[in-house]
Amino acid sequence: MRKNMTQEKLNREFTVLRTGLAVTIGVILSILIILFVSDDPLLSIRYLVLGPVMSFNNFCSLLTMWIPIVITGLAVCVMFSANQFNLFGEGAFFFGGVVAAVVALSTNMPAGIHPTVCVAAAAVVCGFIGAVPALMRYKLGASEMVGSMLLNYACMNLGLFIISYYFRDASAGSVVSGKFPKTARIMTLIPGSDVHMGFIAAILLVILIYWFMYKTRWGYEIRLVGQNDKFAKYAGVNIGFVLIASQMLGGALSGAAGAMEILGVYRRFSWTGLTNHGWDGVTLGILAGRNPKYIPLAALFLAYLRKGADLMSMKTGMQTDFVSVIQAVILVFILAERFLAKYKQKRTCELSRQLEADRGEKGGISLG
Amino acid sequence: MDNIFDLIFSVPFMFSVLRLTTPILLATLSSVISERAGVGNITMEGTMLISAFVGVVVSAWTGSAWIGFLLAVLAGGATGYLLSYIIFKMEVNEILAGLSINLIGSGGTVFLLYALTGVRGISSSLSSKVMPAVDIPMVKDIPVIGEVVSGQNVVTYLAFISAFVIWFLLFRTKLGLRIRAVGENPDAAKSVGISVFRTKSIALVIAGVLSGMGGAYMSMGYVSWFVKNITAGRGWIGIAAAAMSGQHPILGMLSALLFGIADSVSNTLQTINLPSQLVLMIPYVVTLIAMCLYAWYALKKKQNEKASKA
Repeated sequence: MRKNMTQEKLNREFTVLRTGLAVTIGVILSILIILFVSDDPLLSIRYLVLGPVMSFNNFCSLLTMWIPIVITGLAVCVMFSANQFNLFGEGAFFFGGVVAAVVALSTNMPAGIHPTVCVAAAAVVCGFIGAVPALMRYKLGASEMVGSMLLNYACMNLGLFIISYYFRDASAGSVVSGKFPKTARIMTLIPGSDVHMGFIAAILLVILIYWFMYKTRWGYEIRLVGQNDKFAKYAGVNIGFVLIASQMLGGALSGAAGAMEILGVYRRFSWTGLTNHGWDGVTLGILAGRNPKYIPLAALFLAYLRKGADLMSMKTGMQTDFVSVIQAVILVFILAERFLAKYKQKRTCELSRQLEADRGEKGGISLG
Repeated sequence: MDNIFDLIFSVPFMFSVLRLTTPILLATLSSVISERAGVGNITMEGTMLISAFVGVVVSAWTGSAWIGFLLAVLAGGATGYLLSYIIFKMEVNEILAGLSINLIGSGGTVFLLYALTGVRGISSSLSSKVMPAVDIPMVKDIPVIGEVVSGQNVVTYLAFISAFVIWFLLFRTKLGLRIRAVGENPDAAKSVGISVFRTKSIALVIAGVLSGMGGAYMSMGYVSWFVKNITAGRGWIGIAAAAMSGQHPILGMLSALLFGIADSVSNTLQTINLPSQLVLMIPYVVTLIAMCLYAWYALKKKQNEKASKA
């Protein structure tokens, strides 16, 4: 055993081990499902495991999938850190796309500024809606989770109404908006692919949100309220403000993610329902232990699994929806306190014996 | 305007209120019994999806609506047990455990539908069976009431009967007393020899059975097929309805009826050329507002009690 081992380090090591094992179980389960279901399991597994890196195009679309879920994952980190089970991310992503489409179609601005304004508008609108579940919890003591779910469905229908009644392209066969003006679209980052400037925005946001949550007073207050709101109250934190501001920030991030997705990847608004990006954000937030630092890696894993599943479904006809089952299994194992608990117990005992022995050598009796 | 009132105060409207209340009522009861056992169970949506799926597939395979229904309900109970295992044996936070089960419900059903039957997204090509509608003798001859109450799907009757059964179970049986005991004070319950895990598990299995009935109704009564996300948030509305009733089965039935009415109004308004998406918002917005009003009322009541004590 290493000399400078501490309980904190052990805990961290343990979290990494548990997350790694949970992910491994998820991957093994995927392979088992494929073996059972697919007509051509070897080909399916090949596409699932290697598909995303088989060609440059595939890799680019992996990156395209990575962008939005990184941002919704960050949103969940912020919202869940305040110990609020706010699930509005899903609705905010959709509605952010709607707001961006509306602003893009009804204003005229030079390129560069136009998409920025659209994304900002989406963030502001979704930020304000995001305050609703937090207000319900803080002012009324109602369940923020049930409230946010109902809000998701309400926002979805409202968004579909706005698009189909005011911005519908009558010449198109399905319910889609008119084409976005060229100025409103987010510039492509890698020519010939869908990877857009949102990629850079996502990386900047990861740094920014990490800095915000771990290096500023506000971030500290959010985490403090999340861990122990009574203590935070006695420490003089304005709990109402922290709760509501954190949920608004989460809503704004999710909304911005939806706006970037619609202006970066799509040529017109063509979503017909919720897109699942918000739920992916929840998975990532938990996978990353609510720490923004780990979101990019977690998002890469999920995007890889998704892209692999997509390719597999295209080539071999397997449905992609089993990915959500895998997501659920991974979540359960990461969250299970009992999973590997005996191992942790053993390691902790060993560690404390070691520390005791060290102290004995020095002849001190001081604790800690 | 008259037109709207004619549509709303009509026999078909009242009939559809009961029809639309059914799944919400079952989700409500499911939430009530979970909350009484002290578990924040949010799996109604996922459980209903799983059962809706099982009902369609099994009834198509066996050619019997009742076997399909039975297995759907069993699947609901099994989901309830899975939830209790994840929460109590694996020690996962109950809300995140619930989210995982909901994920399995939304993704797993679509995936299995394709894997088992080779159809994508919607099961209308399967010849699945529908639960029968029942005419109640005597009642069906009463004018107006008979037309509204009689001739409903058998699951609708089961749902309303369940409300009373759950009431009886919770307040008039030993098991109900135990469920409420572990919900209110698990330590005290433990000290008199009640197994907390076992009691909570039983409550969650019953909750799963109730949600399972609701799910089976969606795909084998309300419509006759399974489609991705067929429940459309009814599980969440049920949770809100249960919260509004103060976790009481009979009051829960009334608040579920309220949301059934909202649902029915939105269906009726769709027929008179109002924008459908806007109308579809109604049940969710009504539920949200009702939830807030109830929470506000509960808060005031608490404050008044405090004030009168002081």
